Amino acid sequence: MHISEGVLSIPVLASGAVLTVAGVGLGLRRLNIDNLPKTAVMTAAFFTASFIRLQVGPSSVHLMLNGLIGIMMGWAAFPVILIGLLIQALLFQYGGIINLGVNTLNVALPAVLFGFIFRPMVMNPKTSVCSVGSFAVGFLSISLTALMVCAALLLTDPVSYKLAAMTILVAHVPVMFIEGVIALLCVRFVKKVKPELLRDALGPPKPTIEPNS
Amino acid sequence: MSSLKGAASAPFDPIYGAFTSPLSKNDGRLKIILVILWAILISALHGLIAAFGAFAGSLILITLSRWPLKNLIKRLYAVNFFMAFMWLMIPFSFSTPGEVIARLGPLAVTLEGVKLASLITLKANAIVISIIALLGTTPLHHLAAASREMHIPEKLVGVFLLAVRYFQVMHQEYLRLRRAMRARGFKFNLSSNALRGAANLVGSLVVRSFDRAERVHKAMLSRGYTGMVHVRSAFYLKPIDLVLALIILALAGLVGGLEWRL
Repeated sequence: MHISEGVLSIPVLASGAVLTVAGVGLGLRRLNIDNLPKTAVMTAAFFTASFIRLQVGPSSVHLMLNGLIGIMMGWAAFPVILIGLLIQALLFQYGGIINLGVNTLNVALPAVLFGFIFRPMVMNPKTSVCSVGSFAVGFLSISLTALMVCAALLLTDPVSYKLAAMTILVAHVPVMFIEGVIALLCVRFVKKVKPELLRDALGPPKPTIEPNS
Repeated sequence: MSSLKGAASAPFDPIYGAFTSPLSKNDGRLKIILVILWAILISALHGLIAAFGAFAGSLILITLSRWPLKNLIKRLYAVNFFMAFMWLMIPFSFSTPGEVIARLGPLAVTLEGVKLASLITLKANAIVISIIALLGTTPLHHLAAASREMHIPEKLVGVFLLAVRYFQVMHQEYLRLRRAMRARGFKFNLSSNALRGAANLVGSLVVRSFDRAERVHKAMLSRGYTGMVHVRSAFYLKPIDLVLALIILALAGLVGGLEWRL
């Protein structure tokens, strides 16, 4: 869930913005002429995939997939998520501009962190190890995102926002399991169909065209 | 979270960009700077009167932009969905202790709670309305060009432009894949079958996009792509830009006065 505009205090907004600028700076270093179109198209793909909603009781949840982005993109998850959220804010007024820093940090930092931690497990050829790793990356990424949303609310107002923060956390528990299962099945699908995508999504493209020849 | 459902029907709203508003003529760079300053000011407000002033100021801006009212209301669903969620908790004494002004059964409504909930609702709506008025009237490629002029990294601008473009393509593809699944009686719920279907849908979107990206990249290289994304828009400040800047600075001055004097 993205935090809406007008809710957070200036210090929280500023810290989020500073950390996101640092993360995006690190992420941009991974981008070059060759993988920039790829990054853009993947951004669009993940953003589109976040439109998939599943019925849970009377309500529905939409997928976030930040664990999967972390596995495939590494630090480039920061620019990818920043752009995704910016487009969302501009086209749907979902999230916002001033809190873009906080929202990007909340989604991208868990993606990068757990992407790095679980990458070796996800790449493991053994199905059981890979399954555990990819479930964990989906489950833990969204969990940390939910915790960071709570932290941002509590740092702004520890009394009045407490109940709202707790409700957000509890409401995300089913989402954590869903994200875990989706990440698991998704990794399995991609491994079967296009395994090189998991190995290095931003790696050098096949040398079909030499730029200076 | 159901807010996206309402908005999902309007992603490529023809109004966005194609719509000619009096504010469309203003310099994109100036609008970005002004909207950021205005929104930071609003974020810093603590007084209810100043927040009300900021809300009124944003309404003046949206009136200047002549944004259609019906569309505006639709675009405000998302933010007010979040606010409705906050209103369910903040006004009551278990969240915000203070002077009790009303009782709903066992629940006590406090003055401080109602004030805080009103404050964040006014601030959030004021910011979102000003974003619609200033950035909504600027086509996305102008925003990209303007942010490059403002020394936002070239790579980020490039990713933004291409992502906007391919989001439109992929959203159509997603709707097509989903329609095909629905036609086969697929239901998006929590059964293992549905989860696998959803995961495969995500997977095929990503894999297809990856293949598409390779084709796009080759096509771009063959057209002389060197890392620069060219956008045709020149920027120069005009008298109407000065007028817009003065209006917003005057409004900001008034709101600041309300916040720090009263």
